[in-house]
Amino acid sequence: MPRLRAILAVAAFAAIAAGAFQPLYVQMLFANAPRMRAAFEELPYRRLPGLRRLMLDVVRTTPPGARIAMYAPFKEWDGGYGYAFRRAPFLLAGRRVLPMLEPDRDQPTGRYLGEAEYVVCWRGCPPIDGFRQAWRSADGELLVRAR
Amino acid sequence: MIAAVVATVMAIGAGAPLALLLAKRRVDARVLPEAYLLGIGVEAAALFGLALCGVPWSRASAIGAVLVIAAIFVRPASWAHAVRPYHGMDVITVILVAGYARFATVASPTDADYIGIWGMKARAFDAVRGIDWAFLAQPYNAFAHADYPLLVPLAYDFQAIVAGAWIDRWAGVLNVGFAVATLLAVRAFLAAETRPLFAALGTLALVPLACSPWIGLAEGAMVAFGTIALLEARAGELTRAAIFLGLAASCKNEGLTLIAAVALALVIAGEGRRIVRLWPAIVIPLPWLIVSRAHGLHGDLGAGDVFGRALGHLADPMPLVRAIAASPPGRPLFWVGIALALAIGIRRVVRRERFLAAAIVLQALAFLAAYVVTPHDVSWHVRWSWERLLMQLVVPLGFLAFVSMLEEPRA
Repeated sequence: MPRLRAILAVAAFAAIAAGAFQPLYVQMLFANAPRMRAAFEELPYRRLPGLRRLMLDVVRTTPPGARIAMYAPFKEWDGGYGYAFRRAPFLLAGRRVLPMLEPDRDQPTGRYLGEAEYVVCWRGCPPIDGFRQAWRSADGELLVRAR
Repeated sequence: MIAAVVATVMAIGAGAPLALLLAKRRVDARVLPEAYLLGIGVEAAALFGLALCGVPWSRASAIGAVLVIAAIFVRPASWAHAVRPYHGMDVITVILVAGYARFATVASPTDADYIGIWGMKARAFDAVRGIDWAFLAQPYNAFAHADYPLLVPLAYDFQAIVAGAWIDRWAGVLNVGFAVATLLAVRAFLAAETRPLFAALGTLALVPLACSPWIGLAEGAMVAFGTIALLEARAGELTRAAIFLGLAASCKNEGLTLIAAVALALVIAGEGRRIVRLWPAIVIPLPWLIVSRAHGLHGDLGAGDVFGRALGHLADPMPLVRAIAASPPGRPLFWVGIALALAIGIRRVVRRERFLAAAIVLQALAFLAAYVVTPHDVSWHVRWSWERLLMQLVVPLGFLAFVSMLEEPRA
């Protein structure tokens, strides 16, 4: 009986160890780190190509503390707009990011535009009263409040 | 990287006085990992305290506040050393952890919850050199779960303050620190139960479970604080356990349910009269709970008609059952091994490990309770959180499985 118990215990231990084993952590010892780093950089933003570059361009061309409204050509929060809006504050650290779509109602909103100094648009901006183009790139556009 | 190493060493130094005090001046193998974890708590507490006092964060103010908090626990004394020997097998554990460290730091964390919750808050606070309450309180930032406790974002901020710049890919060092602390503590607890070879093998098997794959999230912290809290409570060290419970509750709201699970498990294990010694577990997260409510921050689970939602889900539980069945946590082989181990050692589980078994089951039930009251689509909620939540419990569960298979000491 003690022998059977020992065999079962070894089997249980082996199952736990094998079932928990994570081969990735072994593969990482031999991985090409710079190549992985390059691949991982765009990974969180891959559904909106160019979003990361656009945001980094905005950081370079706006002052800390700037209030920036965010436009992306989606009518639903969960259908694309939220994807961009949830990621923007991380990249635009130090700036206040304001929505142009109501999170709960999927309604376009202009109620935060009054406090915005800039509007950043993924891909391109619709006409927005009181703002003029600051610059445009292949990834999007930045508008600045017209004086 | 230098800043990450400096912040890690500072954490160990900041937590060492309290770790030694809690260890009753007996330097055992748990002191080092506990010093690190307590130090992370001290660093976060220092930044939280500075923010509440309106003092802008800087290297001088942050390090000064850490020194003041750490100094409170310094006691001149002689220490007894009681570190058990390590085993050659531990080298394999070190190699696997090195692979994990490479994974965790290869790039800035890519998880959507890091970018939209944990890392984002840390960056927002780092930019204003304090807690940005206005940012947290904006209804359009509700996706960032403003009510979540701040220990993990503040730990990133401390590292950034030491670095003098945003930490980018070195954020993952915190994950590595939590994993190493968990494994060192588990190794020490196993060594108290069995031979060095078995303790080393048990620790090696648990490496992938302690090394949270969710880089940048608070899961690694929850695994570390929660596991050590449960194992300290199992060892009868309730003050130590309570402090780690309090720190777990300062990482995620599941930490609050873990306090209740431990209290109830003590009752089930016949130790109910000792519950009062868990008071630090309540005191530690209390300032955040008060201040966050004062700023109007609240979570989604408790919003609206909680009772009505619970009744609705309980009246028709099949969507929840189907969602859980569709999101199996980990590989079946692991769960087969756990079930077999617990079956082999069922007598020991019932006689000697009732506390740990009950605490794990109760916390798992608390996870399920969250789905019963969720305002979200239950299948979506389960799909994106069930495995992650259950992984908070698999290290203590693995520990329970191993010790339950050990021969019971003869009377």
